[in-house]
Amino acid sequence: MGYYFSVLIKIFISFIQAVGAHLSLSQAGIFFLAIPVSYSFMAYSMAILQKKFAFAVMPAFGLGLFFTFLLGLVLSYLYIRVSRESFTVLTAASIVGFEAFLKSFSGLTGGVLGISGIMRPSFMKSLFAIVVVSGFIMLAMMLMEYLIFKAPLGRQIRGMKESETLLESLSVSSAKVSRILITLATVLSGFAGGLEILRVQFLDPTFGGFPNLILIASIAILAQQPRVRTLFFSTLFVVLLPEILRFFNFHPSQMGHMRMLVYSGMLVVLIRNLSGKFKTNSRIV
Amino acid sequence: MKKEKVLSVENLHVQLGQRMINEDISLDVYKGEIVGIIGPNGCGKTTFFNAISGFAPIDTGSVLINEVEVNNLSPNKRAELGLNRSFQNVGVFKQLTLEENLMMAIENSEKLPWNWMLKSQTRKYVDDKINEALDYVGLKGHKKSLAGVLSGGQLRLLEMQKLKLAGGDLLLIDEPTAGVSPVLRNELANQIKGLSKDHGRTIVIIEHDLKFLFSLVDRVIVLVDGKKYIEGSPTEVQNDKRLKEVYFG
Repeated sequence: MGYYFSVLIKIFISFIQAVGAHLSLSQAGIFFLAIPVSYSFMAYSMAILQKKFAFAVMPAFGLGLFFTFLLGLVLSYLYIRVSRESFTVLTAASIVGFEAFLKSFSGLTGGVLGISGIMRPSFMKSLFAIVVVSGFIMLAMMLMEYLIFKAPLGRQIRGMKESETLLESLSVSSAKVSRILITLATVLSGFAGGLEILRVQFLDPTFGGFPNLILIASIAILAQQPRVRTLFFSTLFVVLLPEILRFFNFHPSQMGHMRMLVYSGMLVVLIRNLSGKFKTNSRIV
Repeated sequence: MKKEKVLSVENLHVQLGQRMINEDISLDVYKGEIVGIIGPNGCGKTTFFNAISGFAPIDTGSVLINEVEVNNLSPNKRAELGLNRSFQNVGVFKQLTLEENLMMAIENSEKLPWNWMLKSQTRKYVDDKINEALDYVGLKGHKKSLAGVLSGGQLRLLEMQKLKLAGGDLLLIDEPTAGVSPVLRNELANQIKGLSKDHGRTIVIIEHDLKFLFSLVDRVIVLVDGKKYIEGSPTEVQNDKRLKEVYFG
């Protein structure tokens, strides 16, 4: 039963994290690649507050989320200050940079050994309770994304991907829309990181990183349409796909690598077939 | 009675790279007026529009919309002041439905709250406006289709409806007949006239089809090499020998 619960939690948490990537990367065409950084940043903030500063679980979660929100503001500020290409490189490099930071400041982060024994709140002691809580949060995120797509912001996001110029001519600030999206994607990814760390209760610098980016980017790219159900089915497909590997007799130490191989292969196929949808905004002036 | 100035451009210079695209252009446009801008290709007509709407940097000079200097305002802030524009390549989101395109125009002009879709009364109001606009141009049947499926002429008609609903009192319309069949040109001309006469909009229009333009406008400005060369009523400009020189050498 534990296996099925873990898979369910993985689906729920991946969906929560993918909502931000779906809106920013897939719908708005913003190449924001620091999603694993906020995922890991929130988890480490929470763990450090618990372990080093003796915070209780929920205050640590809340404060960690606040720090992640501040990180989102910084990243969204960078987006409007640097060129689009620079931002993509910068956010990709931040994944490596953050990992190096975690390894270097071992006094605070536990270095390569990480932090263990992270506490769960009293209402999430069992795996089943985590399934229920993360399931409810996923439903809330589904509702939130549905409302975004129905609201003016949803149309502005999709319009921005096609032409920022046209959006500006309708008195909508494309910089404001981008800032909202990047901050939202950062916070949602952080929220997912916080939930995941409550499940595994252990943290090291490999948490998040490029494997997480590949997972979330695959989900977001696959879910091209502005529909919640498309994102949900995309999450199901991408999370469950590597589970097929369980039918083969790979050594447990190989499973992680094989999973990444499957995702990478899938990403290549997706980009090969869907790259036309990711063209930069055409100049219409 | 003093005429109300909607757009005022004073000694506008726009330099892109090493090239001066617009040089010392001054122009006043009054409420309800339709002003046409013509000139050979590359004379700086669209750059002039871009400078007014904030998409091209102004080197020197000033642009005032409804008496407010907008030189340092972003395009979206200028749009908030009542400036709406169309584009050469059609200012319609092709990946959005016709309904969504018009919805965006209404949302911004009427400052609808983010949750307006949850209020049935507002929903009905917006829906009625969209239906009326689409019905007017015979596109009601395509309401839920992506705008990308429309023909060039239909896109222009949709763009005009979008401009109408966007609510700005100053409209910059860039080559409305580009890619439009002769049959639809009359329809377009009627719509542009309607925007001025029925809705009181002030319009500045760039057009290469001189017959189309002269039948539409109150005043014509001819640009040559980025400078204002001739200005007058359509009859005056048509009879000006310099116009033939500009077009035929």
